[in-house]
Amino acid sequence: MDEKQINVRTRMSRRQMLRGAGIAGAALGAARLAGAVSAAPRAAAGPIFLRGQGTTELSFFYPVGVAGPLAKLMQGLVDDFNKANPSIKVNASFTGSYVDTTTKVQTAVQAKNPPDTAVLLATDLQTMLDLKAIVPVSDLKAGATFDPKDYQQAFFQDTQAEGKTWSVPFQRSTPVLYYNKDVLQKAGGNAEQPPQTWTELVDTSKKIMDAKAAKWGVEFPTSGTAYWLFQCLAIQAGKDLNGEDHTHVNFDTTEATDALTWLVDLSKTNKVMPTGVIDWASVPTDFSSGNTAFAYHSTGSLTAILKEAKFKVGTAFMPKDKQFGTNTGGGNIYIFKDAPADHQQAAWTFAQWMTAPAQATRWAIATGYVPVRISSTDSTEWKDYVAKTPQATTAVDQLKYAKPELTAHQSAQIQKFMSDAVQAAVAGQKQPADALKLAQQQADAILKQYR
Amino acid sequence: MAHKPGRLVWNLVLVLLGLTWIIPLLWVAVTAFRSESDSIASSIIPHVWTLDTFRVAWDSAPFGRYYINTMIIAFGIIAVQIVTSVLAAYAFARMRFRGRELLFYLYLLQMMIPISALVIPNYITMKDLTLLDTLIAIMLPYFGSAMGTFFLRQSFRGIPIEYEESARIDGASLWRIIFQIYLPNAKSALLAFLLISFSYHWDDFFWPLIVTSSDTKRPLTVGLALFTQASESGAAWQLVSAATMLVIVPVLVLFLLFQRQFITGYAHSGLK
Repeated sequence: MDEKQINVRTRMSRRQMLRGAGIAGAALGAARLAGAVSAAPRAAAGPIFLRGQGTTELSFFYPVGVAGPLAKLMQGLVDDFNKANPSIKVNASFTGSYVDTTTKVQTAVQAKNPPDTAVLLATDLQTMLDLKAIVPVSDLKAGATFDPKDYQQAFFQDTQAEGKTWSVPFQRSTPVLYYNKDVLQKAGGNAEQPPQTWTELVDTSKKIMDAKAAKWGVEFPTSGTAYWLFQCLAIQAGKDLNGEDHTHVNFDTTEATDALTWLVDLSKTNKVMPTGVIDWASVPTDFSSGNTAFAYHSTGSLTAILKEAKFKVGTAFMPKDKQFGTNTGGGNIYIFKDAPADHQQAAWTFAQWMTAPAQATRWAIATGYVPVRISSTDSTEWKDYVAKTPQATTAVDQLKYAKPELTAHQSAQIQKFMSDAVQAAVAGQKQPADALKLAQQQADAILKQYR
Repeated sequence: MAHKPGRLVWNLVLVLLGLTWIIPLLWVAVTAFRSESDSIASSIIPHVWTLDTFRVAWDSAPFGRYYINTMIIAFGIIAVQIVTSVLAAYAFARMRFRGRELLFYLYLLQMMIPISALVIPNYITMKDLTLLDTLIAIMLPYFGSAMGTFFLRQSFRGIPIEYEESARIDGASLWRIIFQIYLPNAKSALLAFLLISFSYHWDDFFWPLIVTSSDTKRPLTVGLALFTQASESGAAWQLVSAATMLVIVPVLVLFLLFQRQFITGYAHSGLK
């Protein structure tokens, strides 16, 4: 126990004594207990690992967005970085979900104690800019091998604002259509030719249900962040939900109304999907147990689905209406403004290493995320992987139809308005057009103060 | 005769309530023994019973360390809360001083403030005290409890003042009066409060997550969150169940043990 902590102890008990003489005794007792307690883990933690004087220690927060041993994989990656870069030591810290991580970062930023770097949602960019919390990585000195053009542009475009690059894509997912090849064949279809259009999807689903090959034709989850998958439908219908900048959104459009009506009609008139709000977390299980022939879900679920399914699993582009279309999801690596300059530079070295082609391939294969580097897909590791898991190529190929995920100022709030609209329509509480009109009004009420 | 059908209906309601409570718990307990490749939608009972899922869950995070931390946090907090709440409750119940009622209501007001509103100020306090990323930072904001003080004060007020007066005549000190007259008579209120407080702190996730960053300082709930926060994939129900069992079994056992204490507490609290 060093002097600083002893100091803290006296200060603390003084603070508590202010509560009244009657409690002072207890406060002293509490402080004593506190001392004993905080000494225990230190003793148990073993010898403190000492590094050379020139070592920059970085704090790095990361969320876990995909079920599986991701925290261990992340620690493995960070350990390898530390080994390869003796002058930098990254201390990685798991910080819950994306939302938890953003909250922890916001708290720390407001207390002027930010981490040096963190993985946050790609769509957190505007929120972090509004907080003045981050530095543009394009202002930092890039390594010789840094090549912005080698990042998948579908992912890279949401790092851009005010003509600068503010983050690097790291763990990125995108939705695809999963389908049951066995069921498709049983219903007289070709297992290698999944439906290409909205109409074909409905027709094939009907055939499958008529042939009693599966209980349901299709499942499109709408619980929680329903805006995410719904944005793909809107893009397919011809108009993205994102507006021309972060102060506008296109919720109340005929295209979005068409998309929402089509979604509602899957259950209501076509009866190929269970009615009501379908739970996001259960859809992969429903699909892998054969209850539904088609499922809209994230690439992040591929590993689990392949593990559980006892039939041949196919992945396909999400069917088009006027055009193919998808968005992206997942997290980028950000660097924080209040971190010391040498930490920022070290964090930038770290972020480049983490997203270099070799690491991008390794992370994608281990987790099910899409490789963020274009050259990753040319590597032997990736080629060997897709030879065994051809389902993983769909997401990469579909990226050419990708638009950035819905974002704006106060993006979490804006996204929620859209999710609420989708859920109200799917649950039958509102007509699609009315639900979207309300969402547009709610979003405009917030966004107009930024215009 | 007339009350018999009523009793039957009442028993039926109790059985139904019991079932709604036990079924999810049983489902989790059973699913925890399912292998990761055995889909939960394929049957209610696992095709093969296995401990593999527990092993995967256990290996995903330093759960051993998390157990120790959670116990230190939960027991540490309630130990301090007993002392602070009992003394404060006695002061509010029996001592006469100016502004006692006002102070008491001010004290109660803190119960109205949602914990989430206090996260940033508490974080800044911990930073100023250089206590960030320590177990003590997780515990410190809870050392005083308005709820505990309130429970005990109400309970102390119900104890006839004659007990205290006769003890005083016999020469008992204030400490002795509090701990030998008041506390035993308020046992049920104290136990009720401790159970609530213990389970709250055993389950607390958000504040520990915000205020700590190292694995060596974190509780079980952070380990559980590794499995339950997957927004970019479906849930791995088998792993979620196994990790949930790891977290709740000790507390379930503790509750089953304490439940008896709890009930006898009630039985003994009546005046002779």
